[in-house]
Amino acid sequence: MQPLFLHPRDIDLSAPHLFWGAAPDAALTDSLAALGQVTPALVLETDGRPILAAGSRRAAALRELKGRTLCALALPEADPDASDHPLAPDGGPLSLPLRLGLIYLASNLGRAVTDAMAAAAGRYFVPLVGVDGFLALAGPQLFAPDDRRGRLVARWLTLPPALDALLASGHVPLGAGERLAALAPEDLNAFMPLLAAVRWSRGSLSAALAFLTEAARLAGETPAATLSRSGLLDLPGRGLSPNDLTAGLLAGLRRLRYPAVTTLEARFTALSRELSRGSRVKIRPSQGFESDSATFEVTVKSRQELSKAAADLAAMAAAPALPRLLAVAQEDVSEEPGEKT
Amino acid sequence: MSPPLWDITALAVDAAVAETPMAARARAALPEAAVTVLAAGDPLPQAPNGGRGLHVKAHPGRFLRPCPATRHYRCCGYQIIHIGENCPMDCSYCILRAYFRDRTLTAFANTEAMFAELGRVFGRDPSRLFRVGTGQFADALALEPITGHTRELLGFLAGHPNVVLELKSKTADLTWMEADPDPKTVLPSWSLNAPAIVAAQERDTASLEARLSAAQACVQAGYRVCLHFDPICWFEGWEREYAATVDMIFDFLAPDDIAYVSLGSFRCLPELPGRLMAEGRELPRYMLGEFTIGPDGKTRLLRPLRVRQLRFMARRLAGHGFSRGLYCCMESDEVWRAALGQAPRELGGLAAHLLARAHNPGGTRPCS
Repeated sequence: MQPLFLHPRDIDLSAPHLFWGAAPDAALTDSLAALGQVTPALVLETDGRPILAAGSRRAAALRELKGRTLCALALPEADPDASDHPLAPDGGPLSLPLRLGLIYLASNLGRAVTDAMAAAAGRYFVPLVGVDGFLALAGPQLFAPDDRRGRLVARWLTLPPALDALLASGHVPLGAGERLAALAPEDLNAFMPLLAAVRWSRGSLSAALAFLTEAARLAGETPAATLSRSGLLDLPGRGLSPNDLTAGLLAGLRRLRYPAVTTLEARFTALSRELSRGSRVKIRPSQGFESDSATFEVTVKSRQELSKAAADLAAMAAAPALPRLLAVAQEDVSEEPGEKT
Repeated sequence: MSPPLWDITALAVDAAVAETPMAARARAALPEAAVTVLAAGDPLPQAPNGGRGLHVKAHPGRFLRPCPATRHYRCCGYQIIHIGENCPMDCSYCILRAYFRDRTLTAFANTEAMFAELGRVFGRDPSRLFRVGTGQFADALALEPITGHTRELLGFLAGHPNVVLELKSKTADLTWMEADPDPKTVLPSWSLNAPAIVAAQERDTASLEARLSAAQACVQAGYRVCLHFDPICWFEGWEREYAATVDMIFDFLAPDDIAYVSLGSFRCLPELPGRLMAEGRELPRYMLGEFTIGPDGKTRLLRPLRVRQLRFMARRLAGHGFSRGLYCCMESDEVWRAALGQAPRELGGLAAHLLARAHNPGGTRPCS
C-alpha cells in the first residue's frame, strides 16, 4: 500500500458507500489542527482517480483547515484474490460498489452500530445484493451472532427511506418496522405527522397502530380516512408535554377503536370523582364492568385517617351518585358521557 | 370416485380398540383411507393427499363430566358424555381451536367402559333425571356416519328413560334415528347463526335451511328440538341478519316444537384470535368488537352491548310466540335481568328449569 497525499476538496465525500458519513465535530478538527492526521484514510484508485473508501470525517475536517492534505493509503482496485472471494454473492469477484461498502464497514469494525446505522448500511447494500445478500455479506460486521436485529433491519428496509430519519432521531424504534410495513403507503403517509411528533416505544406504537387500523376496519374505511376525521392530527400543535401528547394520542386512538368501552369508563370516572371528591378513597369498577359492583379502596396510616375514611364512605353511601355509579353498565353506551342524568 | 367423508384419508386405530365394533364401522365407512393400527406410543401417521386423520382410541378417563363452566356466570347444568374430540367442520369462533393442541379428529371406541360408567350413574336412582349431551368437545353428529357412536349410545340409553340426550350439531345428519329411540328421550339440537356468519365463518357446515329442515323432520317424527344461538356475533347489520334467522326458524317449526333456545354472545379464550391468525386467516370483523376480559378470564363483548344483542333476540323470538324456554348461556344475573327480565333463581335455578323443559313438553317440573 502506498501513502498518497490528496487535496481534501478533490475527494467526493458524498459517495453512497460512505453511508455513515457525518459532519466532523470540533474535537476532531482541533485534534487534526494540533496533532495532524495520525490515522491515514483509505482510498481505492480506479482509472488513476482515487475514491475515498474510509475517512470521510477526517477529509471533511481537513477541508476546513487551510493548506492541509489528506494522507491516505491506496488499496489496489481489485482484490488479488477476488476470483475466489468467499464474500462474493455469485462466487465471482466483488463489484466495486460492494468492495467499497465492505471496506467501509471493515474500517468501522468495533464501532457500536446503532439501529439507524444498520438501516443505513442496508439501504446501501440491499439494492446491490438483496436483503439476504446484505445479511450474509454485511451482517457479521454489523450484528453479533445472536443479535436478531438483522431480521428487524431487513423488515425496516421495506419501509420508505424517509422513515430512516425518525429511526435515527429515536422517534420510531426499529422493532416497529413490521407494524409500519403492514400499512398501505397512503396510510403510513397519513400517520407520519404523529410518528414524528412523539418518541414512540415499540409497545405504544404497536398499540396505536392496532387501535387505528382496527377502528378503520370496523368503520369500513382506510386508516388515513379514520385519522383524518379523528382530530388527532391537530394534537401535536397544542403545546402538550411529550408524555401528555403520547397519552393523548393513545387515548384518542383507543376512543376511536373502543367508543363504547371508553364511554363507559368516562362515565364511571366522572361519577367516581363526584362521589369521592375530598376523600382519599379510590373507586374501581368491576372487572370489565361485568357486574353492578365497585371496589372502594383507601389506605390509612392512623386511627384518625381511618375515621376520616369511614366518614367519607358513609357520605358516599348516602350520595345520589352511588346508585348511578353501581349501575353505570346498565346504561346505553351509545350515548355520550354526561348526556344521561 | 366421491371424495372421502370429511376429507379423512387416514384412519389410525389404537391396537387396544382395533377389534371394537366402532373400529370396524370406521374401516367400512372409510374404504379408501390408509388404515394404521397403532401400538402404545406410536406416533400418529400423516394423513395422505393433504387429507385429515381420524384417531380411534380408548378414552382413559371419565366419560360423564360437567360442562367446563365457571362460577362467575350462570351455567345451564349440562352434563357431557365425552365421545370424542375435535370437529371436521371449521368455524372461526370455535372454542376447540384454543382448547386442543392439535385438530386431530378423535373418537373414543371403548364404549363398553363408557356404558359401564354411565350405567352406574344413571342406574343408581332411576327417578333421578339427567340432561346430557355429546356436543361439547366435538360436534355430536359430524362423525356419526363413520363411528355410529350415537346409535350405539342410544341403544344403551334405551334402558335409562330417566336420561334425555341432547344431540347438538351443525350437520343435517339424521342417521342416529335408525336406532329408533323413544322421542321423549332425545333432543336433537342445532346451532344457528346469522346467515352472513354461517356463510363466511362456518366452513363445511350444513346450511341453515338444511339444519332447520332436519329439525322439522325430527318434529314430524315426534321429537322436540333445541336451538342454540351461540355465538351471537356483533357486526355491521347484525340485527337484520339475526332477525332473518329467527324468522326462518318459524317457517320450519312451531314454538311448541322447541324445548329450549340458548343465547350466548361471542366469547373466547384470549388466545383464540392469535391461533386463527397463526393459521394464516384474517381476523373476522366480529372478533374486533368492543371486548373486555371477564372475571373468568375470557374475552367477552362489553356488557351493555351483549345485553342489546340478547334482548333483541329474546324480543324477536317472543314475537313468534317463543319465550318460556329461552335462556342465556354463561351470563350473570345482571345480564339475565336486563335481557330476559328475570334471573335464573326466579325460574327455580337454570339447571332445574332446563331439566324440566328437557323431560316435560310443558316445561313444568315432573313429579319424581
